Amino acid sequence: MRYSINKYIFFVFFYTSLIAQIEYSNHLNIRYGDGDNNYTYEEIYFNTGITLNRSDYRLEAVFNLELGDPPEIGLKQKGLADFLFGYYNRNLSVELGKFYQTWGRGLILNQVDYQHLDFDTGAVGLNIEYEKDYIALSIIAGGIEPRRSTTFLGDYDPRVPNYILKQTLYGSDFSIELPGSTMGLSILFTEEDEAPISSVMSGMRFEKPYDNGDFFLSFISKKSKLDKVNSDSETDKGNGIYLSNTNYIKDWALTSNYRRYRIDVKDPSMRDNILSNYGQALDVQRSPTGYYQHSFKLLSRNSKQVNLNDEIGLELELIGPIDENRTLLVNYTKSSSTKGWHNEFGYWEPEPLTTTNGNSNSLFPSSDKDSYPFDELFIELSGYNEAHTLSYRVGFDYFSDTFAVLANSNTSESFEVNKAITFPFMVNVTLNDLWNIEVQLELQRAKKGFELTVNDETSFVSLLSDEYQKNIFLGFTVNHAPWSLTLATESTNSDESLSSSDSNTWNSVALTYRIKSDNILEVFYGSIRGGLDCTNGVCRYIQPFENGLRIDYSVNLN
Amino acid sequence: MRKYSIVFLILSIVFAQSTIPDAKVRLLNNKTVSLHELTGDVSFVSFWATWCIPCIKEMDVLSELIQEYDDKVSVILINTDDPGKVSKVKSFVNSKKYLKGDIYHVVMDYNQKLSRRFNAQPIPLSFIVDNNNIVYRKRGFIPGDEHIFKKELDAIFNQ
Repeated sequence: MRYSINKYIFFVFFYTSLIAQIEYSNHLNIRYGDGDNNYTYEEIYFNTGITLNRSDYRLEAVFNLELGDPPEIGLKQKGLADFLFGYYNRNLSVELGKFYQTWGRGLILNQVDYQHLDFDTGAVGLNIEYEKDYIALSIIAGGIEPRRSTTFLGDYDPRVPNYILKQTLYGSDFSIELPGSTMGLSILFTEEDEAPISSVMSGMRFEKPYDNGDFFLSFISKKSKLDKVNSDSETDKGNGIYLSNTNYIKDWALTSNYRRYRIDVKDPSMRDNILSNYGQALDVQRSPTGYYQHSFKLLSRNSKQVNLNDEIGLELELIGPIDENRTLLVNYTKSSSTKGWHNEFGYWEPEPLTTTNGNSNSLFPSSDKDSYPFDELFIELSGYNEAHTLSYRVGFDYFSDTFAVLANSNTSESFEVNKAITFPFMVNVTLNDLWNIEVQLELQRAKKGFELTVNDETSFVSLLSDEYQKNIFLGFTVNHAPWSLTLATESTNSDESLSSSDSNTWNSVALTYRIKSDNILEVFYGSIRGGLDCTNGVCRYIQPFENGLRIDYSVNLN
Repeated sequence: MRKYSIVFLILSIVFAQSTIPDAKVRLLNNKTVSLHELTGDVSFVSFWATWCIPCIKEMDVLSELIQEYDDKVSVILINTDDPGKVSKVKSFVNSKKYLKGDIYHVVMDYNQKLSRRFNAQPIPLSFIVDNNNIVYRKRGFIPGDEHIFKKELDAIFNQ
């Protein structure tokens, strides 16, 4: 007993003597949910970081423990989820464990972790960065295991992934600051662990700021190889280009982005098949998507599913202050596939480069239905009153997406489309030092279905019971720090995922209490409508949560 | 082993402290600097993104509050947008007059190193920093939080 106590005393003494140099951080997140539709989850995340600060270097160790049985989305997890050991000094950084790296603007490498979508492209391995004066060098080597839920495999479950792709990747990026500009070169090799598929990607980028703006250019090429046992290897080549230009006129900025990704161009029968296209864009490639990332509820659910394999697009954005208290934003996006597709004899073939209306989508996006056209215009006015006690955001959004080409011959055409007009509005009023209220209202009219043409007769077959889907979201929040109470309701007249017995209204109440500055408890009761959830072009169908309780507790233990 | 783990955990919580690391960071203008070159005696550090409405509200509110302290508080805004959204971040920063002031620094956390170190998700996550020591840490923004910022900043300046 005495020996044991002495051990503890020694341990505590030894440990506390290091305290002056060692720094700890601990974060705990507990999540629980139980809905009527068997939507239950229990998750505990504990993150601990240990840092040794010295005058000329820093050592760090990070451990993430995770218990998810089951998690809200993803695979069951119990124990150490990942770790990272790092050495950092003025010029050098060496990391061993789970690392995330980005080169340039992500055309070749942009590793992300979107927990809410269960999309994690972090690699376990070695990440070295060296930076001195005008040069920077990055070297990586490691393995990734991104996972997805796909209907191309059996046992599809929107919450549990049924497809895991294990890959080994290694490569290097070098950048140099030249007088008035920056240049970068990258090369990345990948090998699949369970299939004889390998790829090599190389790229260059150039960035030049000037007096009233800046210019960015990035180009990549990708060559994939499928080794076959009894025949010659197959190869697939692709490339991508991204241009961005921003011009400032006083406080206003006009940005134009252009992208042309032809990593793996496939006909409509194979376009969305993530299993059989060995030449497709890698999950670690998160190229600039060129779409507006909305923060309004209905707009974020109506997101465009980005296709990084085959897309040509333009984005224009104007933003600036109208006066001291008001800001205007106008964003226009247009994109299409790089080829139109025609099916006359039972197989798909690309349309000639010059399409019927004279436009070519070899360089610019097409509006032809056979080319998956997409258009979105978003206008938002935001501002404050003179006293800054009232803030508002009011917008307009037009969205038109042809996301499936089902038939296109001289006698019949069939395209699946989604069109919507949305008016989002939000106002926040500060009543006094203690009380604040916020109202959010969104109105949306959508049209979803098939545009058919048979023998020159055009018709529209709706996926909905009504011709138009009318969606309404209303949220009301009362803030009285440290409390916050939100009542929300969402309703629709028709939805393709609902059966006649399902409710078409989703009500909820959420109470948030900030116990301390970074110690927050949120209790939610009610329903959440399901649908598409997208972040930077990564989309996932989220199933609805019906009449249930959710508790989320997050605390920083420092 | 379990006992040692528990003791380790308790000690690490009891003795936990937090400073701003002297990490190399990339600014919006692509220049690389040390984070300590940006932090003044007193600094306000916040993780944000262009799509995060509470973050922008916090920024706006903070810009008014900061004026009360002349140029004694530096503001470091660590952006967590995707690298493909750099032009959007630049346009946004240009549209806010106050962000062009000398005390504001926009840091681009491209490879999420800082976000991970501070468990920054969900954002906004904000710190008030005195001589590189984090003296106040807050997640989320509710209108009225500016009174807490003021109280914390006054406490530092009145020491």
